[in-house]
Amino acid sequence: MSIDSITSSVVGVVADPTVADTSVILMENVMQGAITSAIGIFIVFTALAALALIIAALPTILTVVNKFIPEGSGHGHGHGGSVAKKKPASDDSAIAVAIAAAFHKDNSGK
Amino acid sequence: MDILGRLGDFWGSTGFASMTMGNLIMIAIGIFFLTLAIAKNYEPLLLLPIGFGAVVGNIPFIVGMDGSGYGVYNEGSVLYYIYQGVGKGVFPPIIFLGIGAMTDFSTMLSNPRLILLGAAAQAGIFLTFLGAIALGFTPGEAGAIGIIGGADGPTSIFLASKLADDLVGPIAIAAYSYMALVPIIQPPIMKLLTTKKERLIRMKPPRVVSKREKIFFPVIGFLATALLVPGALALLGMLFFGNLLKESGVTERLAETARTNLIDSVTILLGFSVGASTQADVFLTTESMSIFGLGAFAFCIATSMGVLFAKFMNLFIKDKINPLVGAAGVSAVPDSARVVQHVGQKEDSHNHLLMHAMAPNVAGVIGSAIAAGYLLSELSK
Repeated sequence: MSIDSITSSVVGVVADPTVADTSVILMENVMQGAITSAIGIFIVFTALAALALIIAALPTILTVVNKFIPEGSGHGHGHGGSVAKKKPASDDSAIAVAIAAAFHKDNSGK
Repeated sequence: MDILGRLGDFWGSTGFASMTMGNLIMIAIGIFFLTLAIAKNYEPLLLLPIGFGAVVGNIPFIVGMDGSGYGVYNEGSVLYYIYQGVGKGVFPPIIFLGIGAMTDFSTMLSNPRLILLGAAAQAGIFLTFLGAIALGFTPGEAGAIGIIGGADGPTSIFLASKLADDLVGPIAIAAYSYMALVPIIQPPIMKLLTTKKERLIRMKPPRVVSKREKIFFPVIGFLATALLVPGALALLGMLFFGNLLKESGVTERLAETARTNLIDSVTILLGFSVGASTQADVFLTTESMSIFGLGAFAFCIATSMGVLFAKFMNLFIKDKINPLVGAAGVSAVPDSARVVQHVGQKEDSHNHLLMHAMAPNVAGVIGSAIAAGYLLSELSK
């Protein structure tokens, strides 16, 4: 019988060095994970906060851009552009008809 | 002629002979998903392909000595090649292209401070990441599990395919299941963390956003985020590219294709192959059960953080934010925004919060992609 097995039979605890190693590794992983999490939250927050600031500044930026390229001065070139310009008008008409129909239906009490 | 022997060999090669209890359980789960999708209309576009894929993936077969077979994990099979779109992380960015082409960022552009609510909700990802590590998962696995808290199916699959490809199946199932359960999970948390007075807050209508702002945003937004987190290049690039196709006004055909035929085609293949990857021996493990538990934890934390951060912001601002809107920071678009609308209208039927809630909702999509990019760059070293 080995000393370890004699000890475990008396104390009831297996003297296993790998269990202690696993706990140490787990604690190290948790510590590293906490640091990774903290940095991650900081990076996501900073990125989105920066995006929010840029968006807030966008109207000001566009005021400057509009001086050089006034809005509405661009012409749709090619088939794709002309189709895109036609489509919103027909979409708007269909939407307006649908809303009117819904209001009428609602007001007629059905 | 050994007819009986050959018939016996044939019987041995059938699925009936190889069927295990695990296969039966997974087939039952697949049929359950089909029932939810068809009878209850719970996320049918996702649960139906996933459910049928689960049934297909759990038909047992005999694997050859060289590993050949008919499933997603057997090189040479049709399912294997379809699954490469998931395993190599190709399908999720294509889906993001379609999402960008159908997303209207104008509510976010009109009230940029609501973006911070989307940022706060992403804390659920990192707290769950920490919880997964504490439960003994490796950092890569924990990162893939934590991203469930972003409530973004394609992002979850993308990160799982890079960091823990053997967990793609349970992570995808968990992510999409909880996204379908958003109307059940979120309202109790929202009511618990807010007072009646807070739920009655009416917000100022969003301002009109010019066409030029909507065109400039995808370019500037991409540069601002991708330069910071290059790991999210594929996701963010496709998201903003799709949005530019939509907003430019000169590529309507391409935008229409991206948000209809392309995204639908990829969704079919992705859902089906993810479902087929949930083979019993891979899916029915204690790991999967832990992933489901952590997924629920992630959702709850993300919802809570969004609501609590809105309350925190209200301490410093004059135009108060209805804290319910914070729950929409979870990027389940547009379901969580609809939940906010529904909960808000229960208190005041004339309080329309949907458009306000869309701002943190779409910001959450960007936030979860950024979180995924950071975790990918950090954990794949």
